[in-house]
This record gives sequence, C-alpha cells and structure tokens, in this order.
Amino acid sequence: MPQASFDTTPADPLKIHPEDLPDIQGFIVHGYNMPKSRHFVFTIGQVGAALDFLGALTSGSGALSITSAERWPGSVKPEYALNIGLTARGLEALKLPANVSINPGNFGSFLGGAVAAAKTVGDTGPNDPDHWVTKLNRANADLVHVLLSLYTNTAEDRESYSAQLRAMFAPVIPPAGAPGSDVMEWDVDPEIITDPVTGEKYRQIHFGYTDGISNPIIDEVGLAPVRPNQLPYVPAWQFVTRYGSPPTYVPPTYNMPMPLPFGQNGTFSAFRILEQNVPAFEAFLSADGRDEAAQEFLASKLCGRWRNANPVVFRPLEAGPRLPDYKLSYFDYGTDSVGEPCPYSAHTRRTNSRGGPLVVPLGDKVDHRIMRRADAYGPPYTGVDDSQPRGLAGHFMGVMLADQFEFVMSQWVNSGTFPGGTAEAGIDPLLGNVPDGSSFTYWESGRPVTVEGLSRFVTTKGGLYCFLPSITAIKWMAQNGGASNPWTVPLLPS
Amino acid sequence: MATTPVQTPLTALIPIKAEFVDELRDKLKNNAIDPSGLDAVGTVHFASIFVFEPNNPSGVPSNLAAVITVYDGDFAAYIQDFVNQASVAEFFNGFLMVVDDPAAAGLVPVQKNAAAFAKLVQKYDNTNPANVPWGQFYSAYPKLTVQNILHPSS
Repeated sequence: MPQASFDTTPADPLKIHPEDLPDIQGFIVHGYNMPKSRHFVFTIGQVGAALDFLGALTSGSGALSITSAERWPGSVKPEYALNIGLTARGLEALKLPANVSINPGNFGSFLGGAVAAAKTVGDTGPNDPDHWVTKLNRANADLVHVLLSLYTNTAEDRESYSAQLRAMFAPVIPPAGAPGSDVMEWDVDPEIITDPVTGEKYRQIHFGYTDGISNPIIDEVGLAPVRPNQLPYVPAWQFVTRYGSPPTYVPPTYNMPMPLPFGQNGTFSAFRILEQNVPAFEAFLSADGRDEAAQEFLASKLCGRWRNANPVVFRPLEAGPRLPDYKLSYFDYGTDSVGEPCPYSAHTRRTNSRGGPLVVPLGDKVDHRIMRRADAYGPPYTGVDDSQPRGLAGHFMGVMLADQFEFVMSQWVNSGTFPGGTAEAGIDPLLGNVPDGSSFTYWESGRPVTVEGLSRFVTTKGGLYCFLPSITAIKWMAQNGGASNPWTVPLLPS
Repeated sequence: MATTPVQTPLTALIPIKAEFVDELRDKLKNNAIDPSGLDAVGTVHFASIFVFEPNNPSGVPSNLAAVITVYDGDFAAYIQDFVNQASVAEFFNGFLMVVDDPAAAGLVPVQKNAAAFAKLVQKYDNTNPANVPWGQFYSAYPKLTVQNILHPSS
C-alpha cells in the first residue's frame, strides 16, 4: 500500500499562519462555545484497531472526524466538534517507531503523567489521585491512553454522535473483563446565561462567576494591534509545538518532539476534573451575618472579579453594570504592591499576575499562560445542598506543562508566599488545596481584613496529561504505528 | 520554634576543564552576568560567582567554580524565567562549554534545556537538602521574599 509522504516544512515559531489552521486541532486555537460536551477516556487494547481508528478520524472515512482550527464557513457551528489527546502510555501503546523523541527535560511532566505530578500541582490530601474517579486514579494510571473530547450544540446531538463515536472505538478497547475495558464518559454542561441588558451570552460556573474570560490569544497573522492594557499576544510556540528559526533556533524554549510530522503543530494539555463544593462556598460568604451586598463584595475579593465578570480593579466597591467584553481583560495591577483593591490571593491574580511586581515583568505577561477549555459539569446549584457532584472539567493547555500549568499551580495558586506586603497572602481560595482552618485576607483602606473559616471549595477528582497531536501527526501515527522496535516512555531521571 | 525560612541556599561547586579555568576566573572578576537579568527574575536575594584562586588558603581545588546564592521559591520552577533573560543565557551558554561534566555541553542552548541545567547545578549543590543533610541555614527574616522586601506593605 502506498505510504503517504510526510514532507513537513517547519512552521513559523512566532505566529500562526492561515495555512497552519487545517493542521492544528481546533480547540487549541479557538474555543468552540458549544454547550454540550462529553469527554471519553479509554485504554488501547488492540494496536491495529487503534491505528485504524486514528486513520478513520483523519481520512474522512469514519463517522466522525477530528476538528481542525480551520474557520467554519460563515462562522456557523457544525453539529459536532471532536478532538483527541494521547497520554505518554497511550503513545507507547501505539508502538510508534523508535525514532520518536520527546525530550524528558522539556516534557518530563507529560512523560511521567498526571499522577506522578500530583505533589507538584497540589493534588495531595483530599486531592490525592487515590481518591480520583476510578478510570484516572493512581491504581489505573498506566491504562489511561486516549482522551476524546466531543462538543455538540444539543443534548440530542451529544447522544447520537456519542453512539457513533463509541462504535468507532469499540474495536480498540480491551475485551470485557480485561484490564482497562471500562470507558470513562464525563459530561460537561455549562450554564449559558444571556445578559438581559446587552444580550451577550456568557458561561457561568457553579460558584456563580462568569467563566471563559481572558484566555491568552495566540499570535496569528492578521490580528489587530494590541490595545492599551491588553496583555500581549502569546507567541505561537508556547501553545503549538514549533521548531524555531535558524540560526539559533531559540525560541522556542524546548526541543521539538520529533520527527517533525509527529511533533509539529501539537500541544500538551492537563485535563482536570475539579469538584466544587458550592454549599461550603455559599456558607463562607453568608457567615458572620453578611448581607447580600457584603457577600458579593467578599465574593469579588475571592475571585478578583465580581460575579458578572467586572474586574475589581475597575469596580473596587460594587459590581455595576457588566462592562463590554473587551474591557474585561484589558487591565493590569499597576503599581499596587499591597493587594488593594485586588488581593494577591484572589483567583484571577493568583493564576495570572499580569506583569505584576514578581518575576520577569515582561516575560510574566507572556509566559506562564494557560489556555483553558473547561466548563461546568453537574446540575446547576439551586441553593439547596443536594449532594450532587458538580464542578469544572476540561483542558488546561500549553506546550510546556512544567512552565505553564504546573508552574501556575505550584508557584502561584498553591503557594502561600506569593508576594504582597509582609502579610502572608494565602493560596488561591477558589482553586487551591486549602487546608482546614484557613483564612482569607484582603486589604481595605490600607489595612488587612482577615476572614476566618475558609474551607476547601475545590477537590481534584481526576487528571491526565495528554499530547494533542496535529492532523498530520495523527495520520503519521496511523501509518507508522505498530513498529516492531517501538518507542517506549523513557525512564525519567529522579 | 523558629520559622522555616522562605529562602533557600544554593552552594554549587562546579568543576571546570583545566584548559579554561584561568580564563573563566578572570572573566568572573568583571561582572560577567548583567544584574538586570537577576533583577528581572525577582527571586534571587544574593548571588556570588567566582573560581577559586590557586593556592587559596583553604586548600580548595582551584578548578572549582562556585555559584553561591540565596533564592525564593522552587529553583527548578523558576530556572526557565532565569535563562529566558538574554544576558543570563549568554553567560551560562559559555559557562556550560567549559564545565568538566559530560552532560554540560549538550545543554547548550540553555534556554531549551532549562530543567536539565537546573538538575546539573543541583547535582553540585552542597547545601541542597535533597542530596544529603548538610548543616544549618539561618535567616534573619525568614518570612520575607525578595518581593516582600522590595515592595513592603506599609
């Protein structure tokens, strides 16, 4: 059978070009905003079937195909979008040729897997992988191979496309009763709210905050110039694997996964399932006899935004009408070094210091960014503690997991010594691994105000690290997998 | 009970190839690293870098380069930010070419190999508790990071 040629040209490390879009998986570059999604995690039991599956996903011969970043004609959403990720053990299971190289120094986090990285990112105690959902937990980590993320517009479409997808991968998974035969399916159903005044649609998470704001924008040919106070566009190589330009090939700050058809135009992702304890959150807000205005004020300090998304930097005392979308992300913290009006420990400041007085003033605005494609799961909270699991699930993407996702989680979200005057700033109350008996401090009129009784609001229930390969890479793997002397996950130096 | 300091010491004594020792020793006497690169990272309290003199009174071998620093946070986590500073990268790319360790030259350019570079430095760190218990580290201000000191709240 004639082999397809994979004569791959190195792409621009700094910007995405229009001709790149058909090769990159769509959700890396653009959020789909499709409200009914489902994530499937399964084990590769049959290599030949797995390679056929990868081929079918990219040849057009399968019922569903992988969605690229090519823009939709007329911006009309298709009935489904589908993307695929493979863990290190998943790549190993495909028996790729031995000339595959994934540098352990750059991609050790991916190669070791999410369970091995648990301590780094704060998945300890109640967050420990021993307590994760069965398919992803510590005992089963080596059997986590493939993640499929299916996005649809309606619940009916989600069911019908899921059925077709299950039929496609049924031959791939181990037979019933064999290790890894179970398939995890995780539904994500963000609540879409329409602003009654502007008519703008936005997504809400269970704590009541607006979600999906202020993702990094990957630099792309044809983008408008950066507006005042807008964070710079992020160079393409931080979100899409790129080789670098001669003569020094620096940036990017990694050695490209090789060979080029396999390594280019992909990225890495931390898929996370984060259970949110809304009753505990609401109880914290309403303690000490706080009235509704005081509860909203405290909620704004926990997040750095009011629940309608207005940054506290623009609206320190009350939410006010929702600002237009473009203003929601165009701010930084100026010369504030106390944490007023936005506390250092507020979630949005903990996850992005926006070039604040710590670490590489320019680089910090560009480095350590994460592309978030995660949404609410579980039924909306109606004020009654119904013991239903609910939370946030999805992808946290970036080529250098160690320098992006893991850095933010370990050095900022879960680090209590983040700068902010001489008072200990505290860890991110909305995302961090909050120990019992914690407190939350914000600053008002130059004085700290400490609120006791901060408890854990978020518990990690699952995680995996995956490679999101390009369309070319998926075809390459389909054609070159099943090698007799295959690539294996390298032993990582301790 | 004393508070565990937020700062961490690093005392790396790194062997240098004999033919390059004298040149490196002289280079380090002339501010080889632009301090603005260290300012930009914002986590380094103090740093000294030198090569031991021949016949030094302590009897330390004179092919050893010393990198002695006190820093905040996780050394490995911040190393990428550190080598992303052009002047820092330029210095360490030259430095790695003269280190007498088989792994060193392969880490050039250091910007692409930051994690492996951190491991190399930590291998030679005599005050890294991950290696062996080594002794005592005292801090007069155990709770203050560089940023706390530079940007006090009051």
